[in-house]
Amino acid sequence: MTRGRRLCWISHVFFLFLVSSVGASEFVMLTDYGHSAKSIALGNIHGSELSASALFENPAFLYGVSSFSASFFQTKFASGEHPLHSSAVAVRTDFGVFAFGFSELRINDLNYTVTNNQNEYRVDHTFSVKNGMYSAAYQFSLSSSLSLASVLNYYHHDLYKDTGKGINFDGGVVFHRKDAALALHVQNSFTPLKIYYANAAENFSTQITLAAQKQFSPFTFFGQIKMPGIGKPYLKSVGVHARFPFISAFSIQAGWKELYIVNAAHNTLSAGFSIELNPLHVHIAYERSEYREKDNQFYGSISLIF
Amino acid sequence: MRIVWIGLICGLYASCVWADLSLELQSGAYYFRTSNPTAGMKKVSVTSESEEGMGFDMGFEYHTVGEPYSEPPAHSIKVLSQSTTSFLNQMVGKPLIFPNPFRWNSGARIGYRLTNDMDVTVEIYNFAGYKVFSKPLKAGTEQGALKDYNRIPVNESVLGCPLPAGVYVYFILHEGVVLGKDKMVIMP
Repeated sequence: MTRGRRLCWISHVFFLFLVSSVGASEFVMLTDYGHSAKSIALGNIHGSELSASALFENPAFLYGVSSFSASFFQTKFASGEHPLHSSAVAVRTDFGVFAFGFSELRINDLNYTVTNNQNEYRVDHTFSVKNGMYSAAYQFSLSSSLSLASVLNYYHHDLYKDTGKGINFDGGVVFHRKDAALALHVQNSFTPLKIYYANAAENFSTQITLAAQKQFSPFTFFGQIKMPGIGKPYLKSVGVHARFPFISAFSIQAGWKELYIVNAAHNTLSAGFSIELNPLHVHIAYERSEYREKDNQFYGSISLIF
Repeated sequence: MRIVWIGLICGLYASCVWADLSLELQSGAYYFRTSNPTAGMKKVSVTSESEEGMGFDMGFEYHTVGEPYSEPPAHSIKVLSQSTTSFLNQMVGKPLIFPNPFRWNSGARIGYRLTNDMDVTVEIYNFAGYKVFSKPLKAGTEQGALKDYNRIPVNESVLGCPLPAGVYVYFILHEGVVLGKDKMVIMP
């Protein structure tokens, strides 16, 4: 690594910060809800798994992909009526790690309403909406312990006959040692921080997340602070991961997180377990839910790591 | 041997059915909906064990408030309510929001018909099940808690903040029981 190239990368990261404009978030970021069951079990900690799913968390953690990784994630919100799923692949090349993925929430059977003769409401027909995000990332290691990455995200929000489209960049950096890591993740780094619809626009908020992890075998402790946007409270997350030597393929996680929804911070407890039989990793997470009809939420993800 | 096993399984099943009935049909007043949606609620008074069977032999259908009618398994008739208040206070049909979808700056109204003045709570959840709004409405004094057709406004002055574009689920509750629910779509 030449000195000039290193300076180039460092200035790239600083540039991400300099152009970051902060403002009230309006657009619903699917990444806020997590895209890996292991991460969710730990309290939505960014970078809990060194697989392709890091694309949706902190892409600098893609440094853990040795040659190839694929990740799949699924959950169903609100009594199973709102499925969210995502898929990602990552490939290591001589130039670094390239990753691609998408995330999609699709909700069907929504009632289009009209009024009848008595001015009461009735259903005319039904329709669907879709919130999708398509991502491409590049990760590069500056040294054996310092990783940098950028993600290009394309947002596509279908709402009845209107469609919102927007593009933005994320940046991430991780300093990692054998038993510890410190990570910074900046989401929505470039202006214009907008997703444009036919006659309106919504704001992206610049989100900055600082995460740390430290291993005290058999436990690994995680902590995270997220700044979701100006005027909003800092969101805290903590998690613990336990892997016992006598059954190393099995591990358990527990976490607590805060999430900013509309105008208030909500907090949630979570737990999960993982079965890691290389190259296959299976993760299941459970979370308490506020929903009226269902007080729990399950998440599942599978990763292949080569 | 096979006959013994079959007998054992049948016995267990029968005891479960009996246990289910004995738990759910004790003395008291029970309220059901009939298969005729316009007939409203029906009341059955059970004063002794001999009348227990009457509740479902009369042809009443199991119905959960806010859900479509469905034929129950014979042993799973459930009590809708033991409260006279709940018997009288019901929603006719399903709540609907108009217009849907709608733009936040123009707002919308949730419409539903109640059989009586009653305390009602409106709750709104985002697509992921997080509660974003809750408001109790006092019986007979506020739009939304009146007998007849109600229209509750949904806009920024009511909710106190803008809602991001997307899908939300709203519930209409009475004494913690879901009277009805539906989804709304907010455009930016």
